[in-house]
Amino acid sequence: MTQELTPKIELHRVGWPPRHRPVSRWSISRWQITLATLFVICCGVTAPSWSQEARTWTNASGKFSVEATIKELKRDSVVLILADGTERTVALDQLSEADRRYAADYRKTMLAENAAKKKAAAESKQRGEDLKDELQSILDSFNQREEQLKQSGTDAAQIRNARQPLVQETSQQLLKLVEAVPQSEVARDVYIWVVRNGAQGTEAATAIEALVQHFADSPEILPFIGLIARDLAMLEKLQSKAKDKAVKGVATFMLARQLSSADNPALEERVLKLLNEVISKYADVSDSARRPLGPQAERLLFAVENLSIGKVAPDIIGSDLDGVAFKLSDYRGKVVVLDFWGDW
Amino acid sequence: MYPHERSLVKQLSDKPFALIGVNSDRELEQIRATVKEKNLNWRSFWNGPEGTGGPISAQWNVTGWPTIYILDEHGVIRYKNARGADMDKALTKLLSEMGHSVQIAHEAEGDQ
Repeated sequence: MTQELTPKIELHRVGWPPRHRPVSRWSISRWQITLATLFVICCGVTAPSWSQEARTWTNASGKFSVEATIKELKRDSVVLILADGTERTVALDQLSEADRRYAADYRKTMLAENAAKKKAAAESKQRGEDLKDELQSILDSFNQREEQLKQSGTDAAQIRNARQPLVQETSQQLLKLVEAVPQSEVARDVYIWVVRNGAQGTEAATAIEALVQHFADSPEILPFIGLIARDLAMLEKLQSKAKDKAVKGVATFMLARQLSSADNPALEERVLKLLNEVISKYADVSDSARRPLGPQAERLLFAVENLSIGKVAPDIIGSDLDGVAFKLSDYRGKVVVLDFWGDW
Repeated sequence: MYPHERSLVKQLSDKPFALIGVNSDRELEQIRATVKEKNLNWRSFWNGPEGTGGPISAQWNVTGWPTIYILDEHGVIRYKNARGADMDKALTKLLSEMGHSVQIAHEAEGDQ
């Protein structure tokens, strides 16, 4: 079929549609684009691979045609992307017979691909389930060998040293076991095992990264955020990904704490923003030690604003060990070492 | 810790310098006895009967002991957790800003 002028230009040339008539579905209004975009955002389905190439779409009368790829097929219309990147929604009953057949094929393929995806996800989950026995046997073997170590070891340090290679070896086995199903529950249990048992190096990094990647929303990772927080980049990723209120709250607080520890004035604004977010949204969330974040964030906020290098120290009004009242500010004009100490 | 602190207080006794403690022992009587016994020659606030949970350490967000702040003559926080030789260096600098040239050297003393 010969490529004709796009409908848009055609419209201008022949003045179609006439203004007194209802606007044809070939013309495109801002609200249609908006609606289409909204629809795609909410329910968008990726086009099957075979449909990615541009083809010529023609209307039922054969008068108008346009080169476009299909973006999305709805119940009674199709969203097209034109060569210039603009989108256009066209009612199916306005299309030529051939286009309607194409749309029908497209729908069939799309449904099949979606079903395949669902099936793959279910299978992945199932495969994860199938791994449970194998997981248990690896763990049993670990426990058995750990027990032997405890029996044969002479002191705690020696047992610890001998245990580490065992943890690394077991971590390797476990990670390999769930490699193909990184999003399954079994995989999550593996990552947590690896982290909890103090694996180091590649194994620990792999497990932490996978937890952040796939389980940022899983409350099960709460006790391990402290470990994740050792790697600032991972903590930042977790903080931005998490939607679970507890995970998000704890990660936000930890990120603020981590960033504030450098006492870097350039980071102060960001730290204050994070802390205010904790105070306004996550005050009632508790950390892994069951302490609510609100008061902790308030204290840290005070510290950042008043106890950073370069700030005037807050006054202390109290009594000495003999019960005599005095103030820290009594010592203005002197260099002061303020030493929080205890005899223990 | 104690020998270093004692030595500083002694050496800088004629300089505009003060070592101020915030003591977080729970038992006041006991810490008074310790101060006497170990000849601790600096003044301390008492953090109260809640020990490490007391009000001063809470306000100062102290979560580890010892925690050290070094303030200049204007009460501005200039150093945090500088200990040993780092503390000596910091004090030498801050005192020199005030026109006092000091050389801090510690005699060997066993911890008590």
